[in-house]
Amino acid sequence: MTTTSASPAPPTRPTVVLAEMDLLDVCEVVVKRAGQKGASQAECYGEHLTATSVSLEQNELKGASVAEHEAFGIRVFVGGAGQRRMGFAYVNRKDGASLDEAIDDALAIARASPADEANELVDPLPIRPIGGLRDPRVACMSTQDAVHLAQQLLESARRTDPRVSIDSGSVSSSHGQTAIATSRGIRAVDVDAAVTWGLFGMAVDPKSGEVGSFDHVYDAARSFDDIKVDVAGARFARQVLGLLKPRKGQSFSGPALFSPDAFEEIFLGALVGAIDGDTVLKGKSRLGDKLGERIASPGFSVVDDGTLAGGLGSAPFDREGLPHRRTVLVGDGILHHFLYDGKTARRAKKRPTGHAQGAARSIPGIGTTNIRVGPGDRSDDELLRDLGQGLLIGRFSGNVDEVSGDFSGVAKGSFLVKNGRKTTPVQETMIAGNVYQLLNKLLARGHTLHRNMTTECPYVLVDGVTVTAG
Amino acid sequence: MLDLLESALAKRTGAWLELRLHDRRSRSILVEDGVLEAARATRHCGVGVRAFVDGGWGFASTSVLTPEALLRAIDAAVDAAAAAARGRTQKALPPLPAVFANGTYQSPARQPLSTLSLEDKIALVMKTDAAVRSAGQRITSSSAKYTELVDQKFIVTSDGARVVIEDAKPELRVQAVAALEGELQSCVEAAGHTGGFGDLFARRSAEEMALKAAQTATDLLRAGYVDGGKKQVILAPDVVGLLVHEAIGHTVEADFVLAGSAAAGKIGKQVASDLVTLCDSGQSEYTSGAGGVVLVDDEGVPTQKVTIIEKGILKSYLHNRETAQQFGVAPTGNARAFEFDNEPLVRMRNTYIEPGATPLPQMIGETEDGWLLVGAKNGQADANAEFMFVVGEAYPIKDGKLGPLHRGTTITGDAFEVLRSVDRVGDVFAWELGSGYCGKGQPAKVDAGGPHIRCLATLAGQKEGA
Repeated sequence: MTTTSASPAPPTRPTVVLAEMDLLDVCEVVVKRAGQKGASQAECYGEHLTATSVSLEQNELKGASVAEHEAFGIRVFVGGAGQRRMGFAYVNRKDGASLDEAIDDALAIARASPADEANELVDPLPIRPIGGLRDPRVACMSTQDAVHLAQQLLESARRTDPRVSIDSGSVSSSHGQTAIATSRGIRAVDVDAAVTWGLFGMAVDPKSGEVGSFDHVYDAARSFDDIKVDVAGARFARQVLGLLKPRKGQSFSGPALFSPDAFEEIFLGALVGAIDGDTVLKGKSRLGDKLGERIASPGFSVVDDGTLAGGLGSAPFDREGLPHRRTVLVGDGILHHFLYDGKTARRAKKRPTGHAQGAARSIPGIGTTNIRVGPGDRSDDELLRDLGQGLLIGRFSGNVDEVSGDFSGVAKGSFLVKNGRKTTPVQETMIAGNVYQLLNKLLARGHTLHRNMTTECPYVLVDGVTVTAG
Repeated sequence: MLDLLESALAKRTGAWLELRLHDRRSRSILVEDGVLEAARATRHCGVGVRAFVDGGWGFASTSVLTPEALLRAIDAAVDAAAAAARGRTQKALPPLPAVFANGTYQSPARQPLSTLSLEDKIALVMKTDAAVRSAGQRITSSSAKYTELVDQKFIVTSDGARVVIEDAKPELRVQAVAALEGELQSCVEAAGHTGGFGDLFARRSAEEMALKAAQTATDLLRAGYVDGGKKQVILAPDVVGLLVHEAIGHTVEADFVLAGSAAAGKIGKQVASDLVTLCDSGQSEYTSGAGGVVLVDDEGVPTQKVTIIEKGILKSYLHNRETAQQFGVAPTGNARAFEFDNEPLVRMRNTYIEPGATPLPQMIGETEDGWLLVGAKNGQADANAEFMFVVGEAYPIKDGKLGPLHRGTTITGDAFEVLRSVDRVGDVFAWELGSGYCGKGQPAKVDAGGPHIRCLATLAGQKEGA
């Protein structure tokens, strides 16, 4: 890319200079260049990621990989206020010709698109740093470090029982930088680092030939001190061994105890979809006219907090460069907020809530950061006793129709509960219901929150679930 | 580009190396409720390097296409392979030598994507979205999304592969949302193929997809719920596609077999009704343009049609060069990587049941009490062959007669038990899942289909108002 702006790039060697520039500086050059080519507004979101990963396969360390990724998402607008047309392009190279081609692609799309009065970049707001997102000991982990962690993960899962069979798994460390520059004056950069690890597999009994149901564990940490692969390995072993010798379930309609995983998969996924400002605006949300009204049982609360120190979903700014914040979505069963990015807020005549989300490859959309479901007052054992007879749903493999709220699917990793105690695992057991109806049938919640990547949630006892045994 | 890769390869000897340059250009256009919400162009381009050193695998990728950057990536992959080798308890077997593709392979296309301008494509999506909203009073929301993936790949290996692969895959997805008295129902109709617009719209036009989505969403507003339990079901070709992909296909991927999937040790055994012959192919059998067409896989191996089950007997697994070495068979061309920075894995391509002899009306007429299931959504399979998938439409069959639309449901069962229960196989074949992606750590464009089949499976039930 050649440029005549105040960029430090000498025009005779633009590619080399761009390659050596900081991520944020490249974003600024792209924004200026888009303006020179005819954009009335422009935004460039850059990301640079360095990752080391070690994979596991078939109870053995499979291989190692290293990757360095740098990419730019370029959003341009042509035309004046109220009549702007938008185009977007992505490219994963930062030589001048590639970036120029991407700007031209974005402008061509903008010129071929109809105008939309909501097409407008957001104005800058103060951004505060968030602690605990980049531990230098995580950021400088080597391939050999990842190999050692992968060996620990494998051994901790396999050492207690040879029936544990790992189909696949991985340990990955990454550190990266995101930057954003816009023609409205946003200029921000952030760095972070994380380690993730996971196992996927089942128990296989060589004597009986029985193959158990799949299960998995995943976890992540931003702090080196929080890397606990051996805990995950031992948990994985307990989970898959517990799924051997399943029995047919029992058909009933009534209360069931949802694990945090299952509750998140069914209820939180649909809830977040339904409070997405865009879904609301388009009449596709069952909660669109429920702001300020009861949508769930008393005591139920959900908070989104993108400013949580060390949070896996935390970052100082969102995909449009606005600061993240803490938002009460549902408080004591009452719906408090919808989520907005800049475009949707403009359409709804609201303020953006800092929930623009996405990577460089995508146009900003709407999403959450760190979700926390408020704890209840019961221990997990007390919840089992409260249930008495029924089903403990470990995971859900099925479909949730976010529009209607209907869900149906297979209860995986699930157990019959008898006399208030978890007993045998079940197979071919289907569960069904409607999210929006069942949110008003929450009977109790555990006081212990279990973290699953960016979500913290307790066990939740829900009435009115239809269970069908195969 | 081949010369660039071969030049780098020539400078590094001593390790098995595979260099795959993948240049992917994608365009997508999303229109919702008459508004162009998103139109974007992406280019994701770079080289993935795999190395095999001393019984360990290493991988590295770079988006910088200079000789120096390629050599750095090769060195990084070799170092990673050496580190992996040191961490293994046993050395991995090297990739099996293969008969490689050589030359340029281009997927055929009817009316190539370049025949429509960007403006024409935007107009097509706008018109499709409008057709949904004009289809009925109950429609409250509409959307149409067009996506195209245009790929160019260059693969060279230190043991002889040297191939160029060109391919285009367009898809269109149309959604209708209908409302009545506070209730909302939606329906998605989608098509995805390999080739051009002549392939994408070979079976039905964009407008026909829009009308079907609108009609089904409207009809679902008044539809009842399915009563759960084990039922006799007739599966439409799209649901058959989901069944063979999720329930059988994954269990015969050789890497899953090695981990102990339900298909392990069953080669040569009866696993299905003798009416069932099930295949996976990189080509497009019966009708052209299947969405998972792969002429050459990402290890440079020409793809083959693999007969997985022949008349009920399990005949073959799906292999890459590594698993083929472990099983002592020839690779089947099933190694696939989604993009340059993904490592090739054992994946399906186009998976299907071969057509039989029973016309659909006869199949329905011979069913006393059952359900016709149409509209495959998502699905998953388990290691123990238990599967689940979601269907959007269910029609009761009583005494040989088809009843009104009921709401979609989830279907589950033991995959091999379901296939053993197949007692009718239809005579009309269709590819139906080309708009979908299979997920296995990384996405893959796949397709699946077949004729209608009749079998036994468990349906999830739900009570009115529950």
